[in-house]
Amino acid sequence: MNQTFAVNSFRDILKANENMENDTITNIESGPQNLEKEKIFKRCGEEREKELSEILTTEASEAIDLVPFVGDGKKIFESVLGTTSDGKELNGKERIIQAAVSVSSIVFFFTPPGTVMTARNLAVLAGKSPVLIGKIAEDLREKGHDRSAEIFARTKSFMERYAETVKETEKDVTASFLEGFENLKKSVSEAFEDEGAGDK
Amino acid sequence: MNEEKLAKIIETLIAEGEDREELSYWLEIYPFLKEEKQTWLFKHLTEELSRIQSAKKLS
Repeated sequence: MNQTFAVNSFRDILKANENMENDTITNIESGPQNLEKEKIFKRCGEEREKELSEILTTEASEAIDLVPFVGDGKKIFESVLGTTSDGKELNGKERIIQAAVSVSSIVFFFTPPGTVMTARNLAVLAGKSPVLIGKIAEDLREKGHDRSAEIFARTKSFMERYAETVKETEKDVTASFLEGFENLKKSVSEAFEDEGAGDK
Repeated sequence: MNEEKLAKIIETLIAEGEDREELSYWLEIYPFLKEEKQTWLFKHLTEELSRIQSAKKLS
Protein backbone atom coordinates (compact mmCIF):
# COMPACT_ATOMS: atom_id res chain seq x y z
CA MET A 1 0.00 0.00 0.00
CA ASN A 2 1.44 3.35 -0.93
CA GLN A 3 1.20 5.95 1.77
CA THR A 4 0.17 9.41 0.73
CA PHE A 5 0.84 12.44 2.87
CA ALA A 6 -1.29 15.44 3.51
CA VAL A 7 0.31 18.59 2.13
CA ASN A 8 2.10 20.10 5.03
CA SER A 9 3.53 23.43 5.94
CA PHE A 10 6.92 23.46 7.62
CA ARG A 11 5.98 26.90 8.91
CA ASP A 12 2.79 25.60 10.59
CA ILE A 13 4.68 22.84 12.38
CA LEU A 14 7.31 25.20 13.71
CA LYS A 15 4.67 27.67 14.84
CA ALA A 16 2.62 24.98 16.53
CA ASN A 17 5.43 22.94 18.07
CA GLU A 18 8.15 25.50 18.70
CA ASN A 19 6.18 28.75 19.19
CA MET A 20 8.45 30.44 16.67
CA GLU A 21 7.88 33.83 15.12
CA ASN A 22 7.45 34.17 11.35
CA ASP A 23 10.78 35.95 10.86
CA THR A 24 12.69 33.23 12.70
CA ILE A 25 11.02 30.56 10.59
CA THR A 26 11.86 32.44 7.41
CA ASN A 27 15.52 32.51 8.49
CA ILE A 28 15.46 28.76 9.11
CA GLU A 29 13.76 28.03 5.80
CA SER A 30 16.30 30.05 3.86
CA GLY A 31 19.29 28.71 5.79
CA PRO A 32 21.99 26.84 3.84
CA GLN A 33 22.21 23.06 3.76
CA ASN A 34 25.03 21.81 5.88
CA LEU A 35 27.00 18.76 6.79
CA GLU A 36 25.56 18.78 10.28
CA LYS A 37 22.14 17.94 8.79
CA GLU A 38 23.57 14.97 6.92
CA LYS A 39 25.17 13.74 10.15
CA ILE A 40 21.83 14.00 11.95
CA PHE A 41 20.10 12.00 9.17
CA LYS A 42 22.77 9.33 9.36
CA ARG A 43 22.74 9.04 13.15
CA CYS A 44 18.95 8.96 13.36
CA GLY A 45 18.70 6.47 10.47
CA GLU A 46 21.09 4.11 12.22
CA GLU A 47 19.11 4.43 15.42
CA ARG A 48 15.89 3.59 13.57
CA GLU A 49 17.48 0.56 11.92
CA LYS A 50 18.61 -0.76 15.27
CA GLU A 51 15.14 -0.25 16.68
CA LEU A 52 13.51 -1.89 13.66
CA SER A 53 15.79 -4.90 14.02
CA GLU A 54 14.74 -5.10 17.66
CA ILE A 55 11.04 -4.82 16.76
CA LEU A 56 11.21 -7.44 13.99
CA THR A 57 13.28 -9.87 16.05
CA THR A 58 10.99 -9.55 19.07
CA GLU A 59 7.87 -10.03 16.96
CA ALA A 60 9.45 -12.95 15.09
CA SER A 61 10.19 -14.62 18.43
CA GLU A 62 6.45 -14.79 18.99
CA ALA A 63 6.03 -16.75 15.76
CA ILE A 64 9.06 -19.00 15.74
CA ASP A 65 11.10 -20.65 18.44
CA LEU A 66 14.28 -18.62 18.10
CA VAL A 67 15.57 -19.08 21.63
CA PRO A 68 18.47 -19.33 22.43
CA PHE A 69 19.96 -18.52 19.01
CA VAL A 70 18.30 -15.17 18.51
CA GLY A 71 20.69 -13.43 20.90
CA ASP A 72 23.75 -14.62 19.02
CA GLY A 73 22.20 -13.74 15.68
CA LYS A 74 21.39 -10.26 16.85
CA LYS A 75 24.92 -9.76 18.11
CA ILE A 76 26.24 -10.69 14.68
CA PHE A 77 24.09 -8.37 12.64
CA GLU A 78 24.23 -5.46 15.07
CA SER A 79 27.91 -5.23 14.19
CA VAL A 80 27.12 -4.55 10.53
CA LEU A 81 24.13 -2.23 10.89
CA GLY A 82 24.22 0.88 8.74
CA THR A 83 26.98 -0.14 6.33
CA THR A 84 27.76 -2.88 3.84
CA SER A 85 30.55 -5.34 4.58
CA ASP A 86 32.95 -3.20 2.52
CA GLY A 87 32.04 -0.07 4.48
CA LYS A 88 29.60 1.61 2.07
CA GLU A 89 27.05 3.67 3.97
CA LEU A 90 23.41 2.79 3.43
CA ASN A 91 20.52 5.12 2.72
CA GLY A 92 17.25 4.87 4.63
CA LYS A 93 15.53 2.42 2.29
CA GLU A 94 18.58 0.16 2.28
CA ARG A 95 18.67 0.19 6.09
CA ILE A 96 15.07 -1.08 6.28
CA ILE A 97 15.99 -3.86 3.90
CA GLN A 98 19.17 -4.66 5.80
CA ALA A 99 17.19 -5.02 9.04
CA ALA A 100 14.58 -7.23 7.37
CA VAL A 101 17.16 -9.43 5.63
CA SER A 102 19.09 -9.74 8.91
CA VAL A 103 15.98 -11.03 10.67
CA SER A 104 15.38 -13.42 7.76
CA SER A 105 18.96 -14.61 8.16
CA ILE A 106 18.44 -15.33 11.85
CA VAL A 107 15.33 -17.33 11.04
CA PHE A 108 17.12 -19.15 8.24
CA PHE A 109 20.42 -19.88 9.92
CA PHE A 110 19.53 -20.11 13.58
CA THR A 111 16.49 -22.33 13.55
CA PRO A 112 16.54 -26.04 12.78
CA PRO A 113 17.23 -27.44 10.29
CA GLY A 114 19.20 -24.45 9.02
CA THR A 115 21.73 -24.44 11.81
CA VAL A 116 24.66 -25.54 9.68
CA MET A 117 26.36 -22.47 8.24
CA THR A 118 27.93 -23.29 4.92
CA ALA A 119 28.56 -21.60 1.60
CA ARG A 120 25.66 -23.68 0.29
CA ASN A 121 23.31 -21.97 2.74
CA LEU A 122 24.43 -18.64 1.36
CA ALA A 123 23.22 -19.61 -2.09
CA VAL A 124 20.03 -21.13 -0.71
CA LEU A 125 19.06 -17.93 1.09
CA ALA A 126 19.29 -15.87 -2.10
CA GLY A 127 15.82 -14.61 -2.98
CA LYS A 128 14.26 -16.22 0.10
CA SER A 129 14.19 -13.41 2.62
CA PRO A 130 10.87 -11.84 1.53
CA VAL A 131 9.39 -15.35 1.56
CA LEU A 132 10.67 -15.92 5.11
CA ILE A 133 9.30 -12.57 6.25
CA GLY A 134 5.96 -13.54 4.66
CA LYS A 135 6.05 -16.90 6.45
CA ILE A 136 6.55 -15.15 9.79
CA ALA A 137 3.55 -12.93 8.97
CA GLU A 138 1.43 -16.04 8.33
CA ASP A 139 2.58 -17.75 11.54
CA LEU A 140 1.86 -14.63 13.57
CA ARG A 141 -1.61 -14.34 12.06
CA GLU A 142 -2.36 -18.00 12.79
CA LYS A 143 -1.35 -17.40 16.41
CA GLY A 144 -3.64 -14.38 16.65
CA HIS A 145 -0.90 -11.71 16.65
CA ASP A 146 -2.61 -9.63 13.98
CA ARG A 147 -0.76 -6.37 14.54
CA SER A 148 2.65 -8.03 14.43
CA ALA A 149 1.54 -10.01 11.38
CA GLU A 150 0.68 -6.76 9.63
CA ILE A 151 4.18 -5.35 10.31
CA PHE A 152 5.73 -8.39 8.64
CA ALA A 153 3.25 -8.40 5.75
CA ARG A 154 4.03 -4.75 5.01
CA THR A 155 7.76 -5.36 5.38
CA LYS A 156 7.45 -8.17 2.86
CA SER A 157 5.67 -5.83 0.42
CA PHE A 158 8.41 -3.24 0.94
CA MET A 159 11.06 -5.85 0.14
CA GLU A 160 9.21 -6.96 -2.97
CA ARG A 161 9.06 -3.37 -4.16
CA TYR A 162 12.87 -3.16 -4.07
CA ALA A 163 13.83 -6.66 -5.18
CA GLU A 164 17.21 -5.67 -6.62
CA THR A 165 18.30 -4.00 -3.36
CA VAL A 166 17.11 -7.06 -1.44
CA LYS A 167 19.20 -9.32 -3.68
CA GLU A 168 22.38 -7.32 -3.05
CA THR A 169 21.65 -7.06 0.68
CA GLU A 170 21.07 -10.81 0.98
CA LYS A 171 24.55 -11.46 -0.38
CA ASP A 172 26.12 -8.93 1.93
CA VAL A 173 24.25 -9.76 5.14
CA THR A 174 24.61 -13.51 4.80
CA ALA A 175 28.33 -13.18 4.11
CA SER A 176 28.61 -11.13 7.31
CA PHE A 177 26.61 -13.80 9.12
CA LEU A 178 28.95 -16.52 7.97
CA GLU A 179 31.96 -14.53 9.12
CA GLY A 180 30.27 -13.64 12.40
CA PHE A 181 29.21 -17.21 13.01
CA GLU A 182 32.77 -18.44 12.46
CA ASN A 183 34.00 -15.88 15.00
CA LEU A 184 31.27 -16.96 17.40
CA LYS A 185 32.23 -20.63 17.06
CA LYS A 186 35.88 -19.70 17.60
CA SER A 187 35.17 -17.70 20.76
CA VAL A 188 32.94 -20.46 22.17
CA SER A 189 35.62 -23.03 21.42
CA GLU A 190 38.29 -20.86 23.08
CA ALA A 191 36.06 -20.38 26.12
CA PHE A 192 35.73 -24.17 26.47
CA GLU A 193 39.48 -24.59 26.11
CA ASP A 194 40.06 -22.00 28.85
CA GLU A 195 37.55 -23.76 31.08
CA GLY A 196 39.27 -27.10 30.42
CA ALA A 197 42.67 -25.62 31.28
CA GLY A 198 41.21 -24.22 34.51
CA ASP A 199 40.00 -27.68 35.53
CA LYS A 200 43.45 -29.17 35.28
CA MET B 1 -0.86 8.77 19.45
CA ASN B 2 -1.73 11.13 16.64
CA GLU B 3 -0.91 9.52 13.30
CA GLU B 4 -1.77 12.66 11.38
CA LYS B 5 0.72 14.68 13.41
CA LEU B 6 3.39 12.04 12.81
CA ALA B 7 2.67 12.21 9.07
CA LYS B 8 3.25 15.96 9.18
CA ILE B 9 6.58 15.59 10.96
CA ILE B 10 7.62 12.93 8.45
CA GLU B 11 6.61 15.09 5.51
CA THR B 12 8.68 17.94 6.92
CA LEU B 13 11.70 15.68 7.38
CA ILE B 14 11.31 14.50 3.79
CA ALA B 15 11.17 18.10 2.62
CA GLU B 16 14.43 18.60 4.52
CA GLY B 17 16.03 15.76 2.59
CA GLU B 18 15.34 12.63 4.66
CA ASP B 19 14.66 9.36 2.83
CA ARG B 20 11.03 9.30 1.64
CA GLU B 21 10.94 5.55 1.05
CA GLU B 22 12.21 4.73 4.54
CA LEU B 23 9.97 7.18 6.39
CA SER B 24 6.92 6.11 4.35
CA TYR B 25 7.58 2.58 5.57
CA TRP B 26 7.65 3.74 9.20
CA LEU B 27 4.39 5.61 8.73
CA GLU B 28 2.87 2.50 7.17
CA ILE B 29 3.78 0.20 10.08
CA TYR B 30 3.15 2.84 12.77
CA PRO B 31 -0.49 1.84 13.51
CA PHE B 32 0.60 -1.75 14.14
CA LEU B 33 3.49 -1.02 16.49
CA LYS B 34 3.11 -1.59 20.21
CA GLU B 35 2.26 1.57 22.09
CA GLU B 36 5.74 2.04 23.58
CA LYS B 37 7.28 1.74 20.12
CA GLN B 38 4.77 4.23 18.71
CA THR B 39 5.79 6.63 21.47
CA TRP B 40 9.47 5.99 20.73
CA LEU B 41 9.02 6.66 17.00
CA PHE B 42 7.08 9.85 17.56
CA LYS B 43 9.67 11.14 20.04
CA HIS B 44 12.60 10.05 17.87
CA LEU B 45 11.32 11.82 14.73
CA THR B 46 10.31 14.92 16.66
CA GLU B 47 13.83 15.10 18.09
CA GLU B 48 15.35 14.60 14.66
CA LEU B 49 13.32 17.49 13.29
CA SER B 50 14.29 19.60 16.26
CA ARG B 51 18.01 18.82 15.72
CA ILE B 52 17.68 19.75 12.05
CA GLN B 53 16.11 23.04 13.01
CA SER B 54 18.87 23.76 15.52
CA ALA B 55 21.54 22.92 12.96
CA LYS B 56 19.93 25.34 10.52
CA LYS B 57 19.88 28.09 13.11
CA LEU B 58 23.59 27.62 13.74
CA SER B 59 24.57 27.60 10.08
